[in-house]
Amino acid sequence: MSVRTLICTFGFNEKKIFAAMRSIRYNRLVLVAGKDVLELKEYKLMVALEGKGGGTVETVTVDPFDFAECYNRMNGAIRKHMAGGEVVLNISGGTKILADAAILAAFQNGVEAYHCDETTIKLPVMRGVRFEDAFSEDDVRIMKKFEEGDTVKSLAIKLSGVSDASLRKSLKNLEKLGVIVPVLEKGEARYHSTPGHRNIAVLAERCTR
Amino acid sequence: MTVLFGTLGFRSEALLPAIKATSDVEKVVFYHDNHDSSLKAKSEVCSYCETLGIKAVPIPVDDAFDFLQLAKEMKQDIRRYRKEGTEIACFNIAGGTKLMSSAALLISILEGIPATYVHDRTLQPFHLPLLRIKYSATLTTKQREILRYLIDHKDSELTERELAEAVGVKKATINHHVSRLVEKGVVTLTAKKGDRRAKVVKVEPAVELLLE
Repeated sequence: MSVRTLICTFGFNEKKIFAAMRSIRYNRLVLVAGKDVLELKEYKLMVALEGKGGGTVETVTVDPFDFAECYNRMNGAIRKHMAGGEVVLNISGGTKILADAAILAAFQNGVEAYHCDETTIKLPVMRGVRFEDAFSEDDVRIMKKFEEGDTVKSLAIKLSGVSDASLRKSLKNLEKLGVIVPVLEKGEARYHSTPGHRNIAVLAERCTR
Repeated sequence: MTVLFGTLGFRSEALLPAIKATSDVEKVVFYHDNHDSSLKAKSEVCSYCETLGIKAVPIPVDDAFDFLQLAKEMKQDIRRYRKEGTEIACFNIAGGTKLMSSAALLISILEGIPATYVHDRTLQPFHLPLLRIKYSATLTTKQREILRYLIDHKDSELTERELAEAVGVKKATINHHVSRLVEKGVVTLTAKKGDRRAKVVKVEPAVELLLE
């Protein structure tokens, strides 16, 4: 039987984690929390409780007000545990930034997600639909070579072997996904990254892992 | 016309910097609940907008914890504005309950709208690395048809056999499609009361948001 890992965002309220522990079946518990929670009695209580049930708690620490860090660490935790089985996420604990980073990571990795509090709400995520599936091989090649202000011509030079039609198709797809945007400059369409994707090479790297 | 969408909780500071950072905003549409602190924040946003000559459209929500209802309402509003030819600059998701924020995040992903978050401490808005995901494109035509039927009949206790008859396929074919949908986490199969051999197919809540 595959291991089912429950990843929970955690702040100061252990009751939200207890709600998830009660309603979601799991084998392994991972908490994603701010560094200062490690000293909290609520955290220690939870670790002790999980120990009594024969389990251990893996804790991933983050700055709970830094979206990029929360998102990257959450992605890392999800990918690590997906490799060994199934992952389920609970976003009810911790700061809203941490929860939003977690839910974004869940949507982009196709991971089942819940908000467990007084009631358990299942969030609509399609299991197994991962963000990298939206990119073709050509899309990834373009993203790896992409520089701000590129045109179809400049990309064609950098990407020998990709036909003009494939290049245009990929650019259209990247535009639809919200990664790049064409801007008409001196009668020519130049492509720029969107504000949410300033580092396209990193995104390309994540697609090839 | 350029419109900014937002969620609002107890602090107007979670939305005002996003308005300030967006060029040429003509209208701000924001969701808030009826808690006293939210109403105070709403007045502050309206007053700020009025001073700058921006139209404020506050939308009260009945239940700030009803994820499905919130997401449906946001999706409907965004589509209505787009149909009228309005450009939606972004959706600032920093305010309100976690479920309001999550609903706004999901709708931004599904509708392909850039999303921002005003940082709680620095009050600087930052753009979230969203990618538009078209979930319906990951399903076959038949799977979409089955899901639509199940959504339209979500209060019924449909067995696999009844579902097969309803969508015009053989029992073996429906078994195959339902298995794939179970794997994707969008439907569940449970034994029927009084007939353990028959299985009832149910669609998971909020899946309807992913279909279109």
